[in-house]
Amino acid sequence: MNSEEIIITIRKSFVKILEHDNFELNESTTAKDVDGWESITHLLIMNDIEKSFDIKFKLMDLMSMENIGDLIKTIKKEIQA
Amino acid sequence: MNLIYSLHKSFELNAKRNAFCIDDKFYSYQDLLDSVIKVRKIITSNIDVIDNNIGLVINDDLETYATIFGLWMEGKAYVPVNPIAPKTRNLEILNAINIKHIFDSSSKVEYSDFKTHNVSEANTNNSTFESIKFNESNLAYVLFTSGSTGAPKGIPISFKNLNALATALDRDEEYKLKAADRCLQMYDLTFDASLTALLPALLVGACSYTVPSNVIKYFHVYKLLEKHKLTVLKMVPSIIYYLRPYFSEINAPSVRYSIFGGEKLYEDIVNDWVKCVPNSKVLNHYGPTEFTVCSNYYKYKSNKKNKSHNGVLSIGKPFKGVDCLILDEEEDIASNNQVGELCLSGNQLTSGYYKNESLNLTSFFTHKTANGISKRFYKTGDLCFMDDDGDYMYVGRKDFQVKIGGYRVELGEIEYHVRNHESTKSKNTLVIDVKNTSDNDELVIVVESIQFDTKALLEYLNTKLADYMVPKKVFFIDNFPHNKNGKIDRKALRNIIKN
Repeated sequence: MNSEEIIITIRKSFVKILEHDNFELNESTTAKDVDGWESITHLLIMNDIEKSFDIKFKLMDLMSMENIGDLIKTIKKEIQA
Repeated sequence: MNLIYSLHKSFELNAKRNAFCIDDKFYSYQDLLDSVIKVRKIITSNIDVIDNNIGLVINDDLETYATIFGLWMEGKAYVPVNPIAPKTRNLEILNAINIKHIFDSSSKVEYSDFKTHNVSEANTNNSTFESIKFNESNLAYVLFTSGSTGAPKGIPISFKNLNALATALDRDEEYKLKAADRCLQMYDLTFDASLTALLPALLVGACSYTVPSNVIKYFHVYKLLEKHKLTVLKMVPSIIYYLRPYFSEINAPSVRYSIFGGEKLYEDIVNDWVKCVPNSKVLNHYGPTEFTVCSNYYKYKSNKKNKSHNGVLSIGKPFKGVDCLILDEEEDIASNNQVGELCLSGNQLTSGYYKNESLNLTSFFTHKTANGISKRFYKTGDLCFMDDDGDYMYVGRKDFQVKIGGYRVELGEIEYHVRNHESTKSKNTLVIDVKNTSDNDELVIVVESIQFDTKALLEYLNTKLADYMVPKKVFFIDNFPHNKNGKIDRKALRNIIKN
């Protein structure tokens, strides 16, 4: 699965949890760029992404994600694991 | 103990040790003391002796912490406002208490209607430490909490109150910090629980590791724990509720103390948490802001049976010198094991809400204790009972007790059973009363989850609860609304459900 395909899937989780689609997602997007993406919704979005890809993030990986690019890298790593 | 003098003594004694780690940068007690001297210089040069209450914009920096101690050493009180709170609310607070001066370390001046002071811009070279101005009856801080009328209510706490708290903590043999401790400071300074995180650390020369306000708190707590091998964690319980799915990855043998405060602490989660912190004592602190942070605590017993009620860990016994009373519905003293409103008396008790006589009349009362002395008590609004050993159990908020069809219903009891069912065990849930279209109170279970079939859950509740206690509706929400202290905002939730 390439980065573009992953973005399409994770976007669905963001839209579902945040209940709006008024944002762009690319590798450099951070929480600051997306309305409503904050501490409480973050875990919900991550949980939804885990379900979509049937993976489980590690706490350390979740914490060190600075942007969507990091998220994509982690997803790729978990899919291959 | 006289807190202010003891703090100064500790700052000097531990000058070379680290006092704070803020944003990965360490500051020594000497740095803190230098900053305190600057603050005091600004005060004596610019602020009238009669201006006692000073605004403080709380940023995550050394200047903000130093301002608290600088003000205290000049006999003045801080009134904290959070820069991320709505400015109109902050102005309401500052104007309610006639603030003229504000300390603000922000780069941009937000409160230009006031005389603002920025410690980092002050030029106070070669200043020395002047003697401390101390008067027990002066205020140390005024905190504002949300009032049921919508206007924030001011709770003034004096140095006498604060000294009583410091003395109670100092006498407590269960909780003894040392200079080598590395302590978590995750609380916003508008939340008084910040003081029981900060003061014990500063009094022994330990280092406090702060959590900024613009980060995901539970991640940052874990990051600090891993990186700095923290030894003392004072936290709101919601931190471990969020981290729970990842407990298997957490192993922190460095932790000596886990202290919780600010919310109900569920025993089952603590049972799992102690596996992450195998060498830690766990204390459950309880206390309202009106009683200077903390009145009671319970020490969790590893591998033994603990005291809890509806799954909520006991709040234990009061500190020495604190009087607790439980009043029943008729305002008579309740017997052991009978639920009623917890009332508190002692030197930690506030003099009353700031300029709010009507609320003071209903919240405080005088009662003759067993030895014939009249004491002033505060009604906490918390429903509790005392068991035969003198341990207090937290039942719920008085205002969470609702009447359904004439029956008194305690929401915490229903929540307990909801939390025990397979379908909702690992989810955040609560039970709330909402007025239905016919203006009757109706119970609704709110689940932080995507929708699922709730038939089994409701059938289970029917086997556990009287029929009038079983909620008829289940509402699904992606995330609970929270107030700035991280507590669930029930009022906002009620509005969401209604709409």
